Amino acid sequence: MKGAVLGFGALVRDAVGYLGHLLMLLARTISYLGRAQVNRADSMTQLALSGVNSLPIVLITAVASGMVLSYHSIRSALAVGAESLIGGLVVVAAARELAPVLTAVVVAAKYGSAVTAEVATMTVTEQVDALVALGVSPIKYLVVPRFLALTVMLPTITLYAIGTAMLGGMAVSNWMGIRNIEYIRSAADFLKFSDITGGLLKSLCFAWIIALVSCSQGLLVKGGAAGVGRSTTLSVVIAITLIYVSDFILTVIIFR
Amino acid sequence: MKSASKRESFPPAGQSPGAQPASLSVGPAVRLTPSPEVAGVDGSTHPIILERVTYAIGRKTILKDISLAVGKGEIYVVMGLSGSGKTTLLRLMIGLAKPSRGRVWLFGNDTSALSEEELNRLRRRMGMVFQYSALFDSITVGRNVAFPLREHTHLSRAEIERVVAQKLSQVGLPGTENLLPTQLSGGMKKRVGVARALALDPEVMLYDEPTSGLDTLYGARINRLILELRQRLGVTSVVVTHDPEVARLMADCVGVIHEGTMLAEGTPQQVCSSEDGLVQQLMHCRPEGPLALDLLIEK
Repeated sequence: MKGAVLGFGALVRDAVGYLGHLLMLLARTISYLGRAQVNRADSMTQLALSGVNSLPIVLITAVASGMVLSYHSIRSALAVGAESLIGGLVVVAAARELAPVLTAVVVAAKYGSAVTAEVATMTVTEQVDALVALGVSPIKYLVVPRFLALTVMLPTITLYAIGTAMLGGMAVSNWMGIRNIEYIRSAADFLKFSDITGGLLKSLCFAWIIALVSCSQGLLVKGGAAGVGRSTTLSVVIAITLIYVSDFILTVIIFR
Repeated sequence: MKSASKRESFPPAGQSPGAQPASLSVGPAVRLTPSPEVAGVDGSTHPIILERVTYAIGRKTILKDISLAVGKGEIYVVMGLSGSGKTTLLRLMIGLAKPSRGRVWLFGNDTSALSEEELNRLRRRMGMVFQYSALFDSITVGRNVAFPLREHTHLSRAEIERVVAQKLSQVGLPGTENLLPTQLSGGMKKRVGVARALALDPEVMLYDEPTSGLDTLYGARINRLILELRQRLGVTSVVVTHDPEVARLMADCVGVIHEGTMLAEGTPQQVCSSEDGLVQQLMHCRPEGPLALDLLIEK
């Protein structure tokens, strides 16, 4: 029992320490951004990698989620004659929750893991040490472009995901006998501008979580190839956990 | 950020440049030449000073109470077996590691009192050649060498290309600008690493095993380059090696490290004629000696 308590205490201490490390990294990253010390060429590359390259899998996830949500909702709604609510339900759920969270999880798995693997490999092969020895901050050179890219691209592809989820839901509604015009009218009635801005605000926070966790895991890696593998897996696990935890907190704060 | 007024210089304010810092003591090393505290050192004549530096990772002590001063224009060779702490010493000198105890002074600045940006400004006056090259593997050789120029200078593209070509020629690799590091042999990578470290014409160069993995011809060329840099430009060099021949060929001062402790320090002649059996064994590559005896006892 004592051992379990001590173990839990150590876990909490490590978690608090790591969160402190992430906050320090955030502060230093924002400080470089504030002084406009940004590597433009690498930022453009990262914009493409984080956004354009992630878009297909994000859209597939969004359309599938919209279709499934619509299918389940229609089955329940038909029983009580509330099919006129379907469009609103799917779009509001997509804007507030589904699109921001699923997009973030997909990008954490696809782009975040790639960032950790790349930075961790640079760390274990002394390339990060070489940057420092050349008088270049690894935060400025490695973290800032990735942070900036995700800050721009995650909310952008989340917008695409909201639209795609809506279309997926509409396709299933139509297939199950609800006219498109009814679906769109319901969506327009229920969806508020604040639903979209709230969802995008969540998406922005998730972008920062993915950028900071994936870069910090790469920079903190220990060991050789095995260490790179461990860090990459851990990066995805930590990022997704923090996305879910912060999602609940942000939902309570934004959509009170 | 710490204010400039808080920054200390070596020696501390109020102390004359020739005065001896009280905290700088010999430690366990067998000193064969006047040690810094005897000779009197300051940042203007000694770009690198280590003052009673101990470095530990967890409970393992890597370096114990090391004091040394590298004079301007000097070639200081650090000798020792693998795992003796030589590379860690270089990492401490350029601020890649922070001492657990003691202080490192770069160009008269106590590195423990500097912000990361202030330290980066000092690092631009230094170049480091890594044992395994540490080239950026996603960019070409030319961009590797151009990297510090792009980051720290306002040179035009044409000027950068000219400097890159000149540095690559210096290390015997003209025309390799467009190759990727993965297309190079280990020895070629090492020479590109030297060219990159030289790009900003640093005042101090740190070399971690600069000739290991190179064939004899290019090894000799790198050795000659280190000597030429000192002769022509007055570049201060710290060379880590396990090859006593390198020490004899180029060193003004040799420090012999074993298990994190400085065993001896002096001119190559002084160190070679040391009566310490272990120093003799390391400097003359003798299989017999105290080290072999230790190993036998362990077995």
